[in-house]
Amino acid sequence: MSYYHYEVTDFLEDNDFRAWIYDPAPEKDLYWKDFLIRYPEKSEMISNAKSILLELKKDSENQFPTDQKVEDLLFNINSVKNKKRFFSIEIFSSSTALSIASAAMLILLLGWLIKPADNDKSITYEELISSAESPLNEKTNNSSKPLSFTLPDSSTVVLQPMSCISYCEDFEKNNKREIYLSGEAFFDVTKNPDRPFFVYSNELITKVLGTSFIVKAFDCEKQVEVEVKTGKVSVFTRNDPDAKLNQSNAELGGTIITPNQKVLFSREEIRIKKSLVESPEIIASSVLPAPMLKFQDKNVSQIFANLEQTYGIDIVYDEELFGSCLLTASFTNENLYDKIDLICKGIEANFEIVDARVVISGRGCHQE
Amino acid sequence: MTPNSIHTEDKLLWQTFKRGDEDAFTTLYQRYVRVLYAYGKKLIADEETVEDMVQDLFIDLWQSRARLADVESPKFYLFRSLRRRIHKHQTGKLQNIQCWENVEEGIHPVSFPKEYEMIEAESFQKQKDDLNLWLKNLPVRQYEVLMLKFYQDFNHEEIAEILSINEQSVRNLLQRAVLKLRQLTISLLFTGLFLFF
Repeated sequence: MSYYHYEVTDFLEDNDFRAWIYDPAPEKDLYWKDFLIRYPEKSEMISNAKSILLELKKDSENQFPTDQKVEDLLFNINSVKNKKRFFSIEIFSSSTALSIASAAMLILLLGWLIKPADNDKSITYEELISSAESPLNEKTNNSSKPLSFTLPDSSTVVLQPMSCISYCEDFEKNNKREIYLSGEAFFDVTKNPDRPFFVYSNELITKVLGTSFIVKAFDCEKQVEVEVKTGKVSVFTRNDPDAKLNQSNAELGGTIITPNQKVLFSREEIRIKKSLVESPEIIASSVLPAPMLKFQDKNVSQIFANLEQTYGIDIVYDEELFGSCLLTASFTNENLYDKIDLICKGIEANFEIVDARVVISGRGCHQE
Repeated sequence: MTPNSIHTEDKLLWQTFKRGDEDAFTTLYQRYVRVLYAYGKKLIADEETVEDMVQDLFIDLWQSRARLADVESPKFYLFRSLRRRIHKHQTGKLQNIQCWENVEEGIHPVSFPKEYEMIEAESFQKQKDDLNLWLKNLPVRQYEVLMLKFYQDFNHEEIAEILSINEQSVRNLLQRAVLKLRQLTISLLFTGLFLFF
């Protein structure tokens, strides 16, 4: 190649020239020295081009992080990368907005946990029980193992370590069953529509008629969580304008959650967010269809319908796009998200969890 | 190592990393974290934001590894991901929402009075200083394209994708940057000749 007519910019554009500047090697030196001997008038251009390239390099290298920083970042990455994200789902979509959002959520979550309680609107367990009208029985679990016991109405409670509950000595008075909770507990409530069962935990009220569910509400933490195992639960905040009404009637108002769903209540934002539990389980029931484990050239909509019924969840997708997708696969003991992930791979789609629903997106299948 | 062997090695590392190999992941990280960080630092002044972005980039990379496709150039993939994050960050903050096509490029004109040059241009060092000054004063978009092309060795197509603009815009930006350079070097040459005679 002839370099004779080259100008500075042409040298910059030249791959071989750049390779010589950025990655000098004796054989390249030889070539360019020979070139300069033959065309000494080009030396200035070469020198200028070289100086620009080296300046670009220097400019970039000036911004390099220190080795310590490189190590620190790697450490951070490694300590987070194998943890599942918020809500324990690995969501991936081609849009990075989502991943930024979930990273932001993770940071928010950490923020809640780390920041001390400073919101004067927050209500602690102590405040709750001191405002109770009648004398209370208290059960505290200071051991390291869950403590299980039966309430006067024969509902059962499994109280986790570092947690305590209180309830009226006269438990079923006023046609209400009321529990004050600090910490985490699982409740299996005997059905009695005439006497709704209330759990007061920080700023959140959980109301049920007969069902089983878990409440996690530690005074020191920034969020309260309610997870439903069976039945239906209604959740509302203390400062909900309808709270009084919800407390007095037998209907379930507020946010209703069903099995495999949970609500997270942010104590700072005073906001209830509905989501799916970390690992949804198949709902044991004699009336529901059996989960499908193997299918051959099955319509994707049928597979989704089966998942919806067996897990009691909503799957949202475009029937027109995915209705014609056929899938052959078999499940063993994958959890719900793995199953959906497998299906999505088969139909080249992505999924995300939005407000306790699984949303499928992608280009869909078109039959040729 | 020649650029070609780096390229092949990168591709292999990527494939190994996708299968969940931590060493391959760490090697890719060590290989590119510095240039990525420096690139981010050029576009965002706040160090912490850049750190977060680089960190999230690699965390997301690991977590989505099973879904990633094989890529020709992991380096290109990383640069593109980082640039898009930065873009989101900037537009999210309602700063710099300038359309690439409409960016006013003449903000930092680099021109030296001829007389000044004649007197000062004798020394070789002076020329280099001028070139560096030119480089430093380039509008940020032009500088970015120049850096991606000449230092990071990306081709026009890759740069267009990294910046989410079309190839013609890349060519335009590059041309504008280089045009000034050409004027500068030619005037330097002339002064050189003038002094010579």
